[in-house]
Amino acid sequence: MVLYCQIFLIVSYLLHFSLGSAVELPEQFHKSNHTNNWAVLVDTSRFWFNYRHVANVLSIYRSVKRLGIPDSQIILMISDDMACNPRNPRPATIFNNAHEQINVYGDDVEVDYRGYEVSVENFVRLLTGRVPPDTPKSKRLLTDEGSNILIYLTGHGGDGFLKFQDSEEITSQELADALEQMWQKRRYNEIFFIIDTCQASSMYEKFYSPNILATASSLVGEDSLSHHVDSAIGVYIIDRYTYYVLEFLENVHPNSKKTMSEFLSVCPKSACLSTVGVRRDLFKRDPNKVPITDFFGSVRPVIITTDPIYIKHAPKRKKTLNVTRVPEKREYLPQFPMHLVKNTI
Amino acid sequence: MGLLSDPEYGSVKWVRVLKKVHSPLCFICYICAIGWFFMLAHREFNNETYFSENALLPGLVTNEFDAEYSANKFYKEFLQELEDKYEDSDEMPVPWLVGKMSQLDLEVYTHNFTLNYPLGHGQVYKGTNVYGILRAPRTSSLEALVVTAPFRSLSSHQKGTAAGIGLMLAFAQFARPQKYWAKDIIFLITEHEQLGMQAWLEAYHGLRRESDTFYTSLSSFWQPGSELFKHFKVLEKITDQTKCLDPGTLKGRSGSIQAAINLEFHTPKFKYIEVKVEGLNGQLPNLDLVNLVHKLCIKSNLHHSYKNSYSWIRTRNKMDEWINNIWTMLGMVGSQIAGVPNGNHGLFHRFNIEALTLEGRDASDPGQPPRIHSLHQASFHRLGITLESILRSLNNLLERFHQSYFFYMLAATNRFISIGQYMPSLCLLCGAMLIRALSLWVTLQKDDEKDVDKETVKDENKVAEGEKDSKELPKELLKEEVQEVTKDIVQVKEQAEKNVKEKVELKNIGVNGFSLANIGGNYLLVHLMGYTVMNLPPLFTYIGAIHFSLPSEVSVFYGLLSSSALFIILTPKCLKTTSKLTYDELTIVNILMLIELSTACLAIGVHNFPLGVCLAALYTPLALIVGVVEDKQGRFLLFIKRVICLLLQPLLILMILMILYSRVLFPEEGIFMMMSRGKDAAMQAIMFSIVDSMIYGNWLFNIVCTVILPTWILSWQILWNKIQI
Repeated sequence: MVLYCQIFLIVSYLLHFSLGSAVELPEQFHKSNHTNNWAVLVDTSRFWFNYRHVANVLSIYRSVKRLGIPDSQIILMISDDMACNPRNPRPATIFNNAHEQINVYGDDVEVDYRGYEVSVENFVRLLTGRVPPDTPKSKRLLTDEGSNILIYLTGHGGDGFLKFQDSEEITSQELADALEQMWQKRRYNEIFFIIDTCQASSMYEKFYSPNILATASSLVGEDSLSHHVDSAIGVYIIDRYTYYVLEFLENVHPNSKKTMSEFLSVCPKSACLSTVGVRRDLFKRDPNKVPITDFFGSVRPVIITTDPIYIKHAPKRKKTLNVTRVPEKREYLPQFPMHLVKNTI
Repeated sequence: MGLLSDPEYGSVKWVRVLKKVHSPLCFICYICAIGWFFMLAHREFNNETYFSENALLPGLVTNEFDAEYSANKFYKEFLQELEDKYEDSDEMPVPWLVGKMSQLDLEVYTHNFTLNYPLGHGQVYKGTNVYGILRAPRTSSLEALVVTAPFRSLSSHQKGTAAGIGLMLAFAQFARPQKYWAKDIIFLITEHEQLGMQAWLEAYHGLRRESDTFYTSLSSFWQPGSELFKHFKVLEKITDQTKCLDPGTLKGRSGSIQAAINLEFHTPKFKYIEVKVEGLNGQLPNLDLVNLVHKLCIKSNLHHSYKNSYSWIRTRNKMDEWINNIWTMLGMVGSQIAGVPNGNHGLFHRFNIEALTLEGRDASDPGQPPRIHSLHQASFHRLGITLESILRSLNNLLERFHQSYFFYMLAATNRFISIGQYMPSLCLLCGAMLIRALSLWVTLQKDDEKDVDKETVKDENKVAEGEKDSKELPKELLKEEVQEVTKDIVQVKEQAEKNVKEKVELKNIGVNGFSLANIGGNYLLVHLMGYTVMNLPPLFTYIGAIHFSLPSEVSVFYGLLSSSALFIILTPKCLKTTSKLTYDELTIVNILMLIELSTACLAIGVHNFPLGVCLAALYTPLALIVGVVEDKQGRFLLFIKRVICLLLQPLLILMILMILYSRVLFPEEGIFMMMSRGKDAAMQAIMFSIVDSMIYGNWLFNIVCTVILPTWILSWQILWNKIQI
């Protein structure tokens, strides 16, 4: 135990020394003290004519993943399976643009909650961590006090509620209480809350927990509109706000220096046709100085060392491979495990 | 009820006011109702149509229909086939259709049905429908859309539908390889117009001819061959119409049908499309479907119209627009009154399937819209893309049409009037009748001490009043009232315990009394007459065929005519039983008549507004002028009233209307020619309405027999019974 402690002390001393003196880091890095990043991306509406909401959420998923949050830390909730809808003339694909260049429902999509699993109850349980004990890891939000969470919601909303599926809705008060519970249970460090629905800003007005930065596609009394139609598929393919968010995110890289304030002004009224709402009062930092990667990127634990590393046994590469491999004989397992039974007789 | 039965309310202010103003009030109501109806056509009083159903996504998708060439080919081949093999027969080229559909890889079936003609001498008609099912490739067959076309032979007097059938086949060819269908598409070609359609729909929904639930499951107004006649062996044979249409069975089915489009295109090169919506009993398809079709016609650059509203004519002059809209509305009213569907779509509605007909129209067709010759012609390409976009929109549906209006009127292709806007017009008409009924009621309920009007002449009638109120009034009140009148009734006071018994006695004595038995019995009898008339046509046919060897429409017509004459002569006597009639009795009859007529009109109007409003508009004046005839009344006025009443006899008014109609159609003919034409038309109309009622469940004949005829008889009775004062 003593030995471990000593090693730890030495390492931390070394780290401190190296960080403090050897490398210059950008200013922003000091300010955030989060240790991991999570994303909760939710599409709350089903039915074919809501194709655009699925496209919205999958586009955000794609961007977030590209910027470094691994699938294990993204909870993706999608209410309907547009790709396999019989009306889809492009089966097994979902596009977010009429040019149909990117299939956002590509090879590497992990949907954690799907279909009727996307319910208000499941969403609140997910946020607050009060899930049934047998819930698989992929359906849990395993955050801690060092987690920065990106929450993105899209669907049909009204003044003070967001409709889930075709039968229920979450109110702004319920959502605010869920976030407060998260705060009290130390489940987050900071939250960036994005919502793209009609009258979206009503959803964050009731928030009262600290360290939340919220933005919405429209103010109360306004509709959020779709961007354009894909006439080959015959649906509205993406919403305006998300379209411009994506346009912005496409130019963001894991190392970019863009700040959150740039993100917040991504969709002016001339483009969105609705006013983008922002709530800053709960957020302690200045969005001008918060890098966008604090929420969209991921923390990668990097240990910087200035000492040289000596590799003693460098493996030598064999020049010739003369060994003839005997092909391994493969066979199917017996249908009934007789080989196990024999021993007991 | 407390208000109405309060003996002192005769002095209440509103009662006095009502007594004074009721006749101008009724008149104003009537005028307002008519005015309201015509105002609805004005732009300020109706609304722009809009889509309620999000799922439709109308016209978002690019059109891909490219089977114009094959449509032309199918069209020509079909016509060739008809000319070669079916020149002089009315049969449908079933093998050809089955062959073509099979080549298109549809699941093809034929469906046989039989009609035992209910009013004939055992004629049996047989028919065959052909249908092919395009199975949705990526989903189970739970829902379906129907594209249908009636088959019409070359010798048919109606326009052919060959282009519709050609387009349907070409569309099937185009749609078969598409992978986006979420609903099956049934391509159906029916024989014998609506009969084939009705048989197919009944078979599709599993209705059997033997089944008892056949009529009740369709919420039919009337079940033919009712229990009443089961006891008479001879009558049973005549009145047994339960088995008139045998729908047979279908060999192949799909899911529940969500919507249907009926195509009636005689040629691909017509000028414009008429969208026909009126169905059985005036039922209409959901407004969303109607809007969808109009919108997609615009998008596909196809001229379209509804009645008097043409898509290529949009006037800015408000007055012209108003008049145009009025004609459109009246056109709709005209086609809804009879309750006969004006296309095969109309039979779908009762199965909760939204459907409409697209009919191709030319310059030669009736209507003659302005500037028609400058229009470009339609083509299979335009028709194809219209049909494609309509079906792709319907394909997007997630549930049945339920969002928009089911009860509406169209003032133009893009303007509508909702039920909330047109009902006040009918309510005012019925309100006028109810106001009249109420005013009669309050004159009946006089209290002589406080009666301001001092109608001392009718004081004796208070006994009757007491009688009538015996169930509502407390016994003491009743007694007080009765006590003041005659000595006979003093006994009543003395024997308070046997009050009820006494009154029965009083009634039997009948001294200026009020006989409930007389009024009630008459009321019941009159309705029984109506019911009997409703069930008589098969008997007329039978008698006519056996004894006079007349065709059934002639025997039915003369049968109805003679029974009407019988009613006209005999019914006024029905009221006069043992004693002389009193003012009160006749007033009660009048009130009953008013209440029945207004309630019936309202109830009918909720389902079929044009029928309800027309009945109300026609019979409200009669109901308002009918009043108890007193001896001293002017003879001339009475004569006028009687003539008006006679003219409004249901059969007579039908004949008058038909004569006027033939006058409009053939203005050059003489008066006798006109009369005979009108008579023939009336004969046909009656026959059609009876047959429609038996085969399809049309209400018109039943309503007229069971409601309008009895109320008319009641008013006739009132006008022919004078009372002595």
